[in-house]
Amino acid sequence: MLKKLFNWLDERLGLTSIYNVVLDRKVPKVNWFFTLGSASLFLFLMQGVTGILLTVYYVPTPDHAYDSIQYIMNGVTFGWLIRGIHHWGATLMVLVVFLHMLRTFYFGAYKYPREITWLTGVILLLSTLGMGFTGYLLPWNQRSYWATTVGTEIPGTVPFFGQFLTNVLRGGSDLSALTLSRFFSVHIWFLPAVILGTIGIHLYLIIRIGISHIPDKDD
Amino acid sequence: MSKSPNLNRREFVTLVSTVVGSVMTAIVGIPAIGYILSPSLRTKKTDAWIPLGKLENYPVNQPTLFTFTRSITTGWEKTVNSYGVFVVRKSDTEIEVLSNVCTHLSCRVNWNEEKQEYICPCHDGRFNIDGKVDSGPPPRPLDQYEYKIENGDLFIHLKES
Amino acid sequence: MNEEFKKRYKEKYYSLKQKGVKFFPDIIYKDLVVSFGLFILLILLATFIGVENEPKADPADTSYIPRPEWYFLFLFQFLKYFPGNLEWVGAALIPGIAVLVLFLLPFIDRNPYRYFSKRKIAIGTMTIIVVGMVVLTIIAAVTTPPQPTSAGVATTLTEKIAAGQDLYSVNCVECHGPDGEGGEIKGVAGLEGVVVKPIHDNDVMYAFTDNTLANIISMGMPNRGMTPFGRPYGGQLSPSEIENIVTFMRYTWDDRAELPPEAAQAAAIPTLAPNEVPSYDVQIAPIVKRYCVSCHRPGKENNHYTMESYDEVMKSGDHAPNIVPGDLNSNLIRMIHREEIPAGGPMPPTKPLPADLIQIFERWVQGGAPQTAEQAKQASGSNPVPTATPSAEISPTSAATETQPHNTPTSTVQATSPATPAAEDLIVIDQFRKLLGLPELPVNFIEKTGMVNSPSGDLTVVVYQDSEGRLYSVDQISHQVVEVDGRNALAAVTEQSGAPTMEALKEKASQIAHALIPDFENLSKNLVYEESSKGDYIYFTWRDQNASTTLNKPFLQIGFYKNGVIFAFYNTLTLK
Repeated sequence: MLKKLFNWLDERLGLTSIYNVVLDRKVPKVNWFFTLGSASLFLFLMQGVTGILLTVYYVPTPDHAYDSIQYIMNGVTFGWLIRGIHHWGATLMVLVVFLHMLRTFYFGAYKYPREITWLTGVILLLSTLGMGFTGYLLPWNQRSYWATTVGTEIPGTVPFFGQFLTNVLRGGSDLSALTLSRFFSVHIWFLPAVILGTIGIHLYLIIRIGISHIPDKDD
Repeated sequence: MSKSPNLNRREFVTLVSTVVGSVMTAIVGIPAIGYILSPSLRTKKTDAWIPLGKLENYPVNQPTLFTFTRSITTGWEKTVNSYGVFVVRKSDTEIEVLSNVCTHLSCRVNWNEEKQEYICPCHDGRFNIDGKVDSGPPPRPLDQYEYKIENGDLFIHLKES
Repeated sequence: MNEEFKKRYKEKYYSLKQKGVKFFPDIIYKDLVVSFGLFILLILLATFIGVENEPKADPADTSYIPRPEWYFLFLFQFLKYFPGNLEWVGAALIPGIAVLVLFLLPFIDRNPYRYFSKRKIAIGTMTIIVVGMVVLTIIAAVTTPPQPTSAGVATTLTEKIAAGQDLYSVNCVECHGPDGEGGEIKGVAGLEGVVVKPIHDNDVMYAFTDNTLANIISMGMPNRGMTPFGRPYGGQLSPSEIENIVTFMRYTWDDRAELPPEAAQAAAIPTLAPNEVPSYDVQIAPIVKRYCVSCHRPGKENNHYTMESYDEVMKSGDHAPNIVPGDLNSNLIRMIHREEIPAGGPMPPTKPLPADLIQIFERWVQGGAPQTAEQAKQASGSNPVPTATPSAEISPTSAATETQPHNTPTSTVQATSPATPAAEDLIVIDQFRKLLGLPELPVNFIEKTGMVNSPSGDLTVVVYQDSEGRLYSVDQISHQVVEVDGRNALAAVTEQSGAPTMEALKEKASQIAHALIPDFENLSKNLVYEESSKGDYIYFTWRDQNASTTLNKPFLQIGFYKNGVIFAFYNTLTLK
């Protein structure tokens, strides 16, 4: 019965060929450092799930952002867990993605034929940092407010158009409700869209080219 | 027929993936359900005696609307809820306090002096002066409040849970 | 990379692949193990470390030290090494170039070799950069000064109300009074004699929203003499603190908002058992905080008498010591009895302390002014009946009473004994003893005195003692027994057999309550019921949390010794 259902689905969805291409392929023997990529993907998915859950209660305005987070922490069942995972997931993700980059670099995995995989990887690393930077402001507490004030000041040091860059980041000359709402938008729409698309290309290239091997003395 | 070791390994990994996957889904999923549902399951608790002023201020056999407010906090938002009750004084000591919320779909009923009926503006539900259904869709009489009289002051018991 | 290298690479990779493993299950397995490990780590971090609680953003707080998230700390530290006019090099140019190089790495690094020893320059550079980032992060983490510690952030409603009450006591009481009742200001520089309208009634509570109240506190009302309290306007309070004050006001004074029972409990000054000696930690500190600290803190006109800790209360001040343990002539006691003495005038200047609080002070000083509850307990043991031992030392207080009779209604001990018991009271006591099953022994008049813990604060009772030492206090208005203290009689009855079960005692307590109070069934719907036991003593209490008094809510308490004998009784439920 199950087999019949599977066959019916397979005929239409091509499950067997997906299995053959994606899972049942041969790859060189590798070590534990090669799990960092999948760990990054896993953490991204965790951030996605907990992030979506947080938006159920979070309100991105200076009036209510702080109170709504307080409500998540104290008023909602398991709110502390969801936010705790999201908070620590961000830290771990930055760490794991950075280590993944270092592994790729030290094993020379960015060289032919994986140059584009590397490029997409750099985009993912920068997007992850961007997620960290934008997400940091959202609780609208002292720490996040002042960190973002300083953080958005940094591009302002660029000669000639620095102030313009700061104003673009802040949505005006001061850190305000506009800053909060644009950081929120970037945090939950722009960057996740970029990350999802780039992960798609990244994975496609990994499957197409295969994971790199551990270089030996002849390489 | 013996299975090849490789197949066993596959089955093992499939099994481990299923178990680990379910454990993670459960650890995040069950709290997530609680997280989403908890505010809806929380019961609002109100239990207070509301002063309605001197009993002698209410005319006999003449439903009088009394409105009062209570402040409530939902999530992080504080609002003021408004309540309306009809006080009907039968005699010097005997009174009835009726809610002005229609038992059909919670519209607010009005007292019609000419027809001597409470009329709901939404679906034309009608109640007599004691709150009994005269006609229309309401399933039960208007709700009554428990009351007490202390030193000539009327109090009603507001209880929501 | 030339074609030859490409070909070589392809061939090598192909052969490695053939010798390699299947993605599923071998690689997946490792991925799964690592991901699951991270998952467990996440859950542990979220559960046991959690997210630090920070106060709400306050743009006006210039003392806050900005600190980026840890993974930007290295950049933060890096910037410190660039002088002002070159800041953009460190802030934008170098990071910009670094990102660009990272992007174009495959095209910049044209070295076809992959093995570590054949890529010394690339690997060396990267290692230096990574070590540099780690070192900078560590330096930043070590050198940035710790944040000026702010008191714990109030999160739950109860915590907010409690925090708000404390802030109100310190900042608002000197003008608005401990309960927001207002009145004429005394002893505040520049505002002497100004009359402040009450802020605890519906005129204020209904008309002003939380935002309005917060704005008034923050900006003040300069043309009416109220100074701004918000930081942006020159005050000391943060938005969170102002919000806590507003929350406290709203839940305490707005009759449309229901004060959570646990908040009411936290705000109430702990009640005293009969003849218990109060301690600084439990009873005195909350009273001092609410009625005194507003003026008796640094920076106010108070003859340098600050009252923010036990040591300050006991030792500070130009006229120190203001409290001498055991001496009811201590400055503080005389001043709260509204005497004018060399140390100063009546305290608090505007309005007398409620009588029951004055009594708590007296009992505390008489019991040796103990600091901790532990010390107070020892004091209670060594001096079991402090209130019933009138002594000559009290007479100056009595002298003061003659000039200001209305200000000391309850605290004076009128040593009129021995006298004959009033016949009416004896009937009341007899009926009462039948109900409770207490021995009907002859009683003697002891004293007429005020009673601590009474809801109205000015209850006058007549105390009688029976031949085994039990004290009965009879209220002179409602003519009922409001208090029984049978601890002195415990020695006489401990031989009685058996220890009744908790259920049996509860049943007995409930029967007494029903017999004693007409309509108790109905009344108890509004009462909070509590059971507690301390060592050999078991208490059953019905507390009225709905009563409007802010101090001692009326309650009924029946205390049994472990052998089932009633040794303590307290009833203020049926007082008018």
